[in-house]
Amino acid sequence: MSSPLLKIENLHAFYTVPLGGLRYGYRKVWALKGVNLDVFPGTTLGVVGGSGSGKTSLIRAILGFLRPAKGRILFRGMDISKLDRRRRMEIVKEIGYVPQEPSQSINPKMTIKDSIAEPLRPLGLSKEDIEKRIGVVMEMLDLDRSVGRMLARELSGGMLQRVAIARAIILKPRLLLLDEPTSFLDISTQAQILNILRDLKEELGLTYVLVSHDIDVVSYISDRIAVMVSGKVVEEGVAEKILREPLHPYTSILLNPEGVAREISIANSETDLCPIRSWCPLRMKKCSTEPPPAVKIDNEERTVLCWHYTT
Amino acid sequence: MVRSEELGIGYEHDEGVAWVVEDLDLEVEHGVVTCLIGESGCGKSTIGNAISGLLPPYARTYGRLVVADRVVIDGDKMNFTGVRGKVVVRIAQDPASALNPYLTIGEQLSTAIRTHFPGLSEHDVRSKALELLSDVMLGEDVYDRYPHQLSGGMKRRAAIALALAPEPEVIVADEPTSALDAYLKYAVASLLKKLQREWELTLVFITHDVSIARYICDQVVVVYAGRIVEEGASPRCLESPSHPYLELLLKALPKRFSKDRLADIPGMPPRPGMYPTGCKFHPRCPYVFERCRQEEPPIIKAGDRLVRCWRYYEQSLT
Repeated sequence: MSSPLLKIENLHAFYTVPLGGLRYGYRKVWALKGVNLDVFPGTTLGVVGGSGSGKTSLIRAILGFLRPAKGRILFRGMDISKLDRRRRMEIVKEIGYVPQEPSQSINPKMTIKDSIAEPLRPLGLSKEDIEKRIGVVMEMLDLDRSVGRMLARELSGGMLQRVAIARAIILKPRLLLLDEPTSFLDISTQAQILNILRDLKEELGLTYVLVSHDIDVVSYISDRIAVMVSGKVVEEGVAEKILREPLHPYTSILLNPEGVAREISIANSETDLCPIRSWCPLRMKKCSTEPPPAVKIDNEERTVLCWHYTT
Repeated sequence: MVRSEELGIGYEHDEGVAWVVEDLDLEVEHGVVTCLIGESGCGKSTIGNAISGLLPPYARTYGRLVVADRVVIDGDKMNFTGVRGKVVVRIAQDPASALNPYLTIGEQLSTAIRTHFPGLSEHDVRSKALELLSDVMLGEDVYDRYPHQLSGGMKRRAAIALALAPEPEVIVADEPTSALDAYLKYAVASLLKKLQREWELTLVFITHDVSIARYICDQVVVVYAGRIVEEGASPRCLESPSHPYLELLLKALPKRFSKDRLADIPGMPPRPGMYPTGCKFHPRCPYVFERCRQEEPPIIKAGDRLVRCWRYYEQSLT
C-alpha cells in the first residue's frame, strides 16, 4: 500500500469558551480527543457523525484554523501544523476547501469570476494564464460564461456551491476538504453536486475528505467511512463493510435511526470514557471506568473504539 | 378536515401578484397524517401557512379553503377568527423558539390553558398542564423550569406541549425535522405520530425528507410549482412513483448500497410568477411530448392515486 496523503495522529484540539452564568473566566471545550485517520491518495474518506461530534473541527484543524493541542497532521509526510508561514503557503496550495454554506463563503460584492480567481492572486500568474484557468474550471463545473459577471445573490444555492467548488479546485489541489457540501441543498441539486464531485475526482485524480451528517450521501461517494462521536472516531473502515455490518452501536443507530425513535444522549464530557455508555446495548462494567480501546479487526482493515470487541 | 377547492395563493409585489399556488384541490381526512413533499420554493410552506391562517397581509387568494367545517378562505376574503391558534396550530421548524425565556414552562402552559379554557380552576389548569407534559414524555419537574434549563430535545417537546394546549384538531408541522441529526428526526416524528394517534389529530406534515415521509405519513401529496403533481393514500407512491417528477426525485436520492449515478433533473424549479405554460414540469421532463407544452394536464386518477400528467390520461379513458 502506498503511503497516506494525509495522516492524522492522536489529534487533540479545544476551543476556549466563556464560563457563562455570571462568572468571569474561560474554560476549555475539547472538540477533538485523539483522532487517528489515514487518507490515501485517490480515495474518499467520508466522515459522519451527529452535530457536535467534531466533524467540522477536524476540517478546521487540517486547514489550520484550529490549533492542535496535541498530535500531528501530516500532509505528504510533513507536519503542516508546525510549518513556518512560507513553507505553509506552498504546501496548503494543494489542499482545497469547500465550506458548508456557499452563500456565506463567497464575497457578495465580488463578481463570481473574481471570486473564483481570488486564490490565484498570490501566485503572480499572467493575465492570460488566469483567464485560461478560470475558463477551464468553469467549464468543468458546467458554469456558463455569463455567470462570471454575476454577483453571489443572483445565483441559486446549487450554482453557488459549484462556484465554491470551482474556487477550491482552481489551484489544482491534491486534497479537497468538503464540509457538508450538500446539506443546504434540495434533493435534485444535491444529486447534481454529488455527481459533479464524483466526476471531478476521476478527472483530476483528487483525494476527498467529505464531512456529512447524512450517511447516504457519504456512502454514495466514499471508499472509507469514519464515524465520529464526541471528538473521537469510534469506527473506521471500508465503506461497504461498515454499511453492511456496523460494529459500533452508534454506527448501527446512524444506519437505522428509525429503530431508535427516542432521544438518546451523547455524553460530551471531559472524560475519555465512551460517550454512549449511558444507553449502549453492548455496555460492560469496564465502559464506565476505563476509556475504550481502539480494536483492530477484519485483518487490521477496520478500527472500532469499543470494549465489546476486545475478546 | 381540511379541504381546498381551486385554491390560489399569491404574494403581491410591485408589478402585480406572483401566484405561488394555483388551483389547489386538497382533501385531508380527519385523523390522518398527510405529508406535503416538495423542494424549496414549490409552495409547500405557503400551503401550510394558508391552512394555519398565517399568511402575511400582502397575500392574495382565490378559491375556497375549509378547515374543520369552517370556510376560512372564500375568494379574496380570509377569516380565521376562532380557528387560528385554536382549531389549527402550527409547529415551526425550530419549535423551541416559541418558548418565552423569561417564564417557566409551567407558567407558559397555564397561560395558554387559561386563555383557551377560561372557566377552569387554578388546580385544574395545573393538572392539565402536567398532563400535557406527560403527553410529550416530560417529567413533572419540567413545570417549574425555565427554557434555558432544558436540553434542546426537551425544549422541542415543551414547545409541542404548548402547541397542544388549546386542544387543536389540526396541526401543521412545517419542516419539524430538518437540521436535526438522523435519530433525533425520528424521535420528533415518532412523538408527533404518537400524539396524532392518541389525540386523533389531523397532522399536515411538511417536509422535503422522503425517508421521514415514508416513516410517518398515511397520505402523500407531492407538490411541484404550486400544484399537486401526485397524491396517494399511502406511502406506496414513494416506492413506485407515477409522476416523472417524483420518479426523478427518488432516483436523485443517494441509496445506501448503490453507487449507480444519481439522476440529474436538468434545470431548476420555476420561480413563482414565472411558471411555464402547459405542464409546469415539461421543461425538465424526460417524457415530454407536444401536448405537455400546450396544455396543463388535469389531475387524473391512475390506479390507487392521483397524478397530474398527460401520460396517464389515455390510460384513464380506457
